[in-house]
Order: sequence, then C-alpha cells, then structure tokens
Amino acid sequence: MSARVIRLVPGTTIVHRVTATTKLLWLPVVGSTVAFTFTWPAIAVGWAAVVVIFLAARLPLGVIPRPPRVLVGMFAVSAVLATIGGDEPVVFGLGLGGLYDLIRLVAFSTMTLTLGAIVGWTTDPADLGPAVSRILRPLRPLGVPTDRLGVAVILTVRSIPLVADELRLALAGWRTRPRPAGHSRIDDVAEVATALVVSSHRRAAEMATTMAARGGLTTVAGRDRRPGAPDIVAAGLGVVVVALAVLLR
Amino acid sequence: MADAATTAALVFAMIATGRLLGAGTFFQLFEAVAVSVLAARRRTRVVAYSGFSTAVLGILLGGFGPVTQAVMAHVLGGTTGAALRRRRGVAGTIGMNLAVTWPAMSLISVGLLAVFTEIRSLWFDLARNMWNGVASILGRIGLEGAAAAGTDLLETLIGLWYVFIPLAQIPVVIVYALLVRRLGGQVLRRVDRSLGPAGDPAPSHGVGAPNPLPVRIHQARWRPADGVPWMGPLDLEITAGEHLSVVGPNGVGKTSLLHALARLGTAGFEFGDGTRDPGLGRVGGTALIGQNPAAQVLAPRVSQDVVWGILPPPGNDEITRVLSEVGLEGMEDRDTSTLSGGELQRLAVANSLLRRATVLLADEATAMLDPEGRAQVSDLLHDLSDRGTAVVQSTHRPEDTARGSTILTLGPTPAAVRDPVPTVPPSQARGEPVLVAHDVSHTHDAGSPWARPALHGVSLVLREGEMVLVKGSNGSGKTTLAWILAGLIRPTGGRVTFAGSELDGPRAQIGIAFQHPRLQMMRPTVRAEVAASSGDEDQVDDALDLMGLDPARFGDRLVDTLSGGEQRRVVLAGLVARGCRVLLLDEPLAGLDIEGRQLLARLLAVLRNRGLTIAVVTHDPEWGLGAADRTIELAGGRIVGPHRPGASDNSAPGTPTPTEGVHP
Repeated sequence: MSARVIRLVPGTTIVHRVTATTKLLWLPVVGSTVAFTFTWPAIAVGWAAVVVIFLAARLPLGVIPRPPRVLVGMFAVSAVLATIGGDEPVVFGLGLGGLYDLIRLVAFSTMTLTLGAIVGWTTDPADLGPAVSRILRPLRPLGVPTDRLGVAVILTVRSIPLVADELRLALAGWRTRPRPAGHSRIDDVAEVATALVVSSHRRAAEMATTMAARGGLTTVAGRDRRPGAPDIVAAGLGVVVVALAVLLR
Repeated sequence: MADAATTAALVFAMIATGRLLGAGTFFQLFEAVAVSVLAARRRTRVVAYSGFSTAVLGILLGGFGPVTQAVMAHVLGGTTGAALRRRRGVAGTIGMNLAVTWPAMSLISVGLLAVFTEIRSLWFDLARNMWNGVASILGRIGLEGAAAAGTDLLETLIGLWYVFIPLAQIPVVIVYALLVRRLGGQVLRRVDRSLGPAGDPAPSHGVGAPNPLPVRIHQARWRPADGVPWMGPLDLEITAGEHLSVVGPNGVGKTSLLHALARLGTAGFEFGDGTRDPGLGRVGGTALIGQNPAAQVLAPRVSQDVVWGILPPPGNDEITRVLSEVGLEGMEDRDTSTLSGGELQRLAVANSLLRRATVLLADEATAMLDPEGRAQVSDLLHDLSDRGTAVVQSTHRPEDTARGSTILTLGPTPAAVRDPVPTVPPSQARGEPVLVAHDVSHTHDAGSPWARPALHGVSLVLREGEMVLVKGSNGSGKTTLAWILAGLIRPTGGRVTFAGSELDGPRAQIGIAFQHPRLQMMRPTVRAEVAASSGDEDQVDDALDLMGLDPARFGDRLVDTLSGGEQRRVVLAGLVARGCRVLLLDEPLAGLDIEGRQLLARLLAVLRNRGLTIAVVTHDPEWGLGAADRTIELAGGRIVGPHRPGASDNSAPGTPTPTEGVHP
C-alpha cells in the first residue's frame, strides 16, 4: 500500500527530467499559495496544473489508488449534515452553501495530494537526499549539518521498501493468528507496532555496522544532476500558477 | 544515525498507510511510539534527523497534513522518549509534554490558521454548518433550547479560536503523552533487552595510509555467549592473496572473530600482543561484508551505494569498471531494493574494490543466498584473493570452503553431509485432498504501472499427511504461491479450495511460517508467543516438546535472544498448538547449519507422519529429498516437470481435482 506512494513510474518525459531539487521547492510554494488565497479560481488553476503535469508525465490512470472507504463515508456524512445545515445559495429549497464549502476543501486537499503523488511517481527517490543537501547548502555557514541531513534522507529512502515489506509481513502474520477474547484493537496494533519497532532497531544496528565498515557518514556522492531546461519550464509554470492564483480573486 | 533513518522510514510508512486507510489519528499514536523508542535510546539530535527526513518525504504525501503529522509525532514522541530516558514518572512526563509538546502543537495549529485566513473561515463556516444541521434535527425533536445554547457556545468558541484551540489541546496532549509513555515503555524494554544499549560502532580514525597486512592475532580467546566455555587460544597470520575459510556451526563465535579482526566491538574477546590497526572502512584498509544482504547496502541507487564513504569520489569510468568486475555491468541506475541477495552482496564487494581494500572480511556473506548467488559470490571472493586481497570468509557450510586455500575449523568438526535429512520413509498413505489450487494466476499490483505477473495457471493438490517440496529460484513465484495457499493474497485468477470450500481469507487451520521468523513472533517470551499464536495455553508445553524445545528451559526465554533455528521452531510450535492441518513453510532452512537443518527436517517428518500436510517452499537443492513425498518445480510462475514418478497421479477416480501442471 505505502509502496504505491513514493514509487517511480519509469519515463523520460519533461516532468521526469525536472530535478528533485526544483520539485521539492515547487510543491510547497504552489501548495501554500493556493492554500493562502483559497478561492475557487485558485483551486481551479491548481487542478489545471495537476492535469497538465499528469498528461505531460504520460502517467497511466492506473497509478491512482482508490480512495479509502472510511474517507468516502466521512465525506458522505459531512455532506448530508452540511446540506441540512444549509446556507446561501438556496437551490430548490436546499441550502447548498455548506456543501460548496465542503467540496472546496476536498477539492483543495485532493489537489495537493495529487501534486505530491505525481512528484513521487516521476522522481527517482534516490535523488531526494542529494536534492535536500543542495537546497540546504546556503544554510551551511550557519552550522546546519546539510550533508548529514542529506544522508539521513538517503538512508530513509533506502529503508522505506524494507519497512514496507516488514509491515506487509507483520500484518500478514497477525492476520493468520486467532484473536483472543477481550483483545482490543489497540492491543492488536500495539503488537504489530512493537514487532516493527524492534525489527527496525535490529536492522539499524546492522546498517550501523555497515556504515562503520564503510568509513562512517560522508558526503553524498552519486549522479549530480544540475538543473536544466525542464527546470526552467517547471519554474515558469510555477510562476504562472502562483500569479493566476493571486490575481483571479 | 541508522536508527534515525529506520525510525523515519517506519513513521513515514505509517503516515502513508494511515492516510490511505483514512485512519490518520489512530496511526499518529504509534508514530509517536516509534519515535519515543528512538528518543529514549538516543540524543535529541538523532530524533531531529528522523523528524527532518520524515517531514521532507511528507511533502510528497500531499503537503501540510503529513508534514505536520511527521513533526508532531517527533515532538510528542521525542519529548516522551526523553522523559523515558530520564526515568520520569507520570507527572514528569506530563510536565515535559506540557512544556514542549503543547506549545509546539498550539503554535503550529494557531500559526497555520492565522496565516491561512481563508481556510480558517472555511473551517469555521463548515463547523457552523454542521452544527446547524444537528441543531435543526434537535429543533424538530423539541430540543430548541439545547440547539440555541449550542449555537451560542459555538459562536463564542469561534470568536476566541486562538484561545480555545490551545486550551482544547491540553487534554489531548496529556492523553497522548500517557499512552505513548505506556506503549513506548513496553517497546523500549523489548528493544533494550534484545539489542542492548544503542551506539554506533566507530569507523577507524587512524592517520596515514592504513597498513593492515599481515593480519595477525596472537593468543586470542573469546566467548560466544555468557556461560559457555572460552574458545581459543588462537594464533593467526594472514598475508596478501591468502584465502582463509573459518568454518563452524552457528554460535561458535565466527562473527565475533571477524568483528574482532576488524576491531569492531571486541566484547568477550581477548587478544595477545602483536595486533595492528585494520583501517576498517578506509581506502587501502579492511572491508567487512555481513550476512544479511539487505543490510550491506546503504543507498537507494547502485551508483550512490558503490561510492559510499569513498573520498575523493571515484569517477564514472572507475565505477563502470568495478561494477562489471563484480558482474553488475550497466546497473548504475538500478534501484537497490530491486536487487537479489546475491547482487546486493556483489555490490558490497564492488564498494570494497573501489576503496582498494587490502583485507576483505566476509562474515557468512553467502548464508542467505540461493545456490546461484552463493556460487557467484564465492567465485568473486576467490578471484579477489587470486588478485592479492587477503580474504577471510566465515561459513557454516563445509562445502563452501572447497576453494579456500586455508581452512580453520571452529567448534566440533561437522561431518560432510550433503543430504542433511536422515532417511525417513515417505508416507505411503495418500490421503484426501486438503488444499487445492485450481488454475491459479496472480499479478502483483494488477492494473497499475507496476503490475508484475507472478503466477500463471498453477494447479496443485496437497493431500492429507504428505510433505511436498515446492522448488524454484528467486522470482519463480513460490512465495506468492505460499501466500495464496495461506489465504493471505487473493489470486487475480483461479481459485483455492480448503477442505472442499472456497478459501477467501486466512484460516486458523492453515499455518504459514515466513522465511524471517522474527516478525511473526509478536510476544516477548517463548511461552507467551506460542500461547498467543495458538490461542490455547494448554497446548503450549506439548507443542514445544514436539518441536524439541524443552518447555522448562525455553518457556521463559526471550524470543529475540533465540537462534534462527530455534525461532523457526517456536513459530512451528505455535502453529502446531493451534491445530493447523496444513503447514506452509517458506525457506525453513535458510541460514541454518547442518545440525539445525537435520533437526528441523526430522521434526517436519514427524509432523507429517502425524497426519499434517506440509508444503515446503525453497530454493535449496539440498533440501532433504529423503523426507519429501514429492517435489514440484516452479519456474517463471509455472509448474515445470519432472515430478517424482507417480507423484503427478493426483486425480484419483471420482474426485474432481485438477491435474497439476500448466493449463492451456
């Protein structure tokens, strides 16, 4: 499940070629601007950007996970309450204002979710660590351990598929066990969580040995991709989205 | 640092799963629990690394929500963990959280709402709206008074939101802090007991070019565990180009010896004089490769990992050359999580080549590999010694030493046994079909761009009281098949029946034992684990006895301190005590020494003879053919021949079971 979120869909489109550095800066800037203005036009512009990027990245529709039933249910209940509560404008005797607000909120949060997901699908996660080091580089004179933070991200990205496997395994093992009477749901999750935490520290101890055997923590090398033409296009798109979101009130 | 990364990965996985399941709040508690264990074992700085990593990756999960969730899990977990580390009581924990977590939480929520005014008024409108909905219902059932009072209260709260929200967070912080303290404390005790205190082994900090050769130890003595006799004294001298194989069963201290040669923790080890700095991890010094392939590789991309820790960074040409020397040509851009065990170990060797290691210590580096990977890694190590590297390789398989130039045997000399199973006559009884796969196909992540077909039209009949071996190499689909037979995966094509009825989920009577038993054991002690796995405390002692684990000796042992073979037997005891009719075992012999293999194979034969149906999934060609009733071979997700003669005779007259094999 979690393996569907940060997982590269291989490709060579312009979206894939934008560096992780640009993407990591682009997302918060665009997201915050739309969140700040939060008008229908701003959200519409954001969604337009989502569609353009999704198409440009040539992603198949199959990448999109189905929304969880719990959330759909929560939305339905809220929608009913909001409609009963009513507000301007009134259409056919029903106050739809509350429902509009709710939809606006959902439209915004699914937009940021999709933008983040598209970046996850078009970015090699291995690039995230070096990108973080690069973004933080101006802070190095202030004593910020930029390289270590980059290494932390690299090690985390390396650990995610291993953790996802363990999560799958622990849940599977737990599903096959009988559930004793009087066992609450929180006890169940606590058992699985304990197994996962113990295992993550054991793996950390092995990784620490490997790190010592490789001279400890050092600079993150690897393919150093410099920003190029795709990044300029991405920056241009970002400026357009931000400008439209602010101007279209 | 490594534990910061694994904690960050775990928290990230929980945030992602929580969002996908729509249960974010529920998971938030356990995110903080995971962080609290890290914080209790480490300095705050390490917690900050974890929090930073999780927050950066949280951006990709959709912005404010996940990032705030990551930060809050680390503030709450970090503070509560610090309280655990300082052994604060309930009051102290609440106090520290009110001093740190509460202001942080209030600042974040009030700050965000103050900046994003539109979202704030929208939230409040929504709250008014929802309440109006409730109020109009209240009005209709004659509770106008309550409705009006509620409306007034809501308006007051909304008017003073910047006061109300922080106040409302006080009880939340207190409740969460206490829950995290309780759960985190339990987990922490288990982590501390099984792993000891946290600490990173330090890399070598020598000056100048290291000069580890010849590797020499004099009068070394060591103790693999407390309460066992000392090993040694041992004298060793290893020169350039020499290949030393250290052979011995599990538990004689092979790892201790190699780690001592690397000066990587020498607890329980005594040296005489004449030792020199191995220069672990330095260019021209000593390299060390361990048993678990996944832990030997630190970076998500091959080209990043191969240069890890080498300064100045080697050029692309050099990387290309080294990768082709270890047989990984053209794999620079591969994601390391998609490499096989053998490829991971060869990547680790490539790193040692780039740092021009003069000594290579390979600690059971082939133990977890399939036969192909084992042969490739062994050959590679041998080539290295031919080219002048001093190679010290430890192994529990005497057959792996055939090409080693020198053999050092530790512990009792094992007999050279190829087939580890004593002859147990195959059961003659051909019982009723129990678990039947009908034309099963499966594709992982079907419908997504990551769709991977794993099985194609596999039909299989498991009968009562037989032991079946399902053989196949990496990627043959054998593990997927085991999961499907256990009801853990619903196949995308075909169906599975158990005792005649459709299998639509896990059943108590179908037990599965995974290759890695640790994650399957969720209770701290052997007895508690078997009792929880079986759901029946009365069966525990009998089941332990049956699995060769003396209940008096093993009952109260911590599962984390058992050897791999003992852990597998504990898992099996749990399944037997549960009354499973079918046992599905994934690589039950991986990493076991000869004695451990023989024991487990014998125990399985006993279970089979008691009428259980056993399917063993393995890549191991040496797996006791003597004990299995028949063998099925999987390749590329299909059953291929040949079967043991007579074994394919599955469709007894009158039974509607399919013939094994590939359906057209």
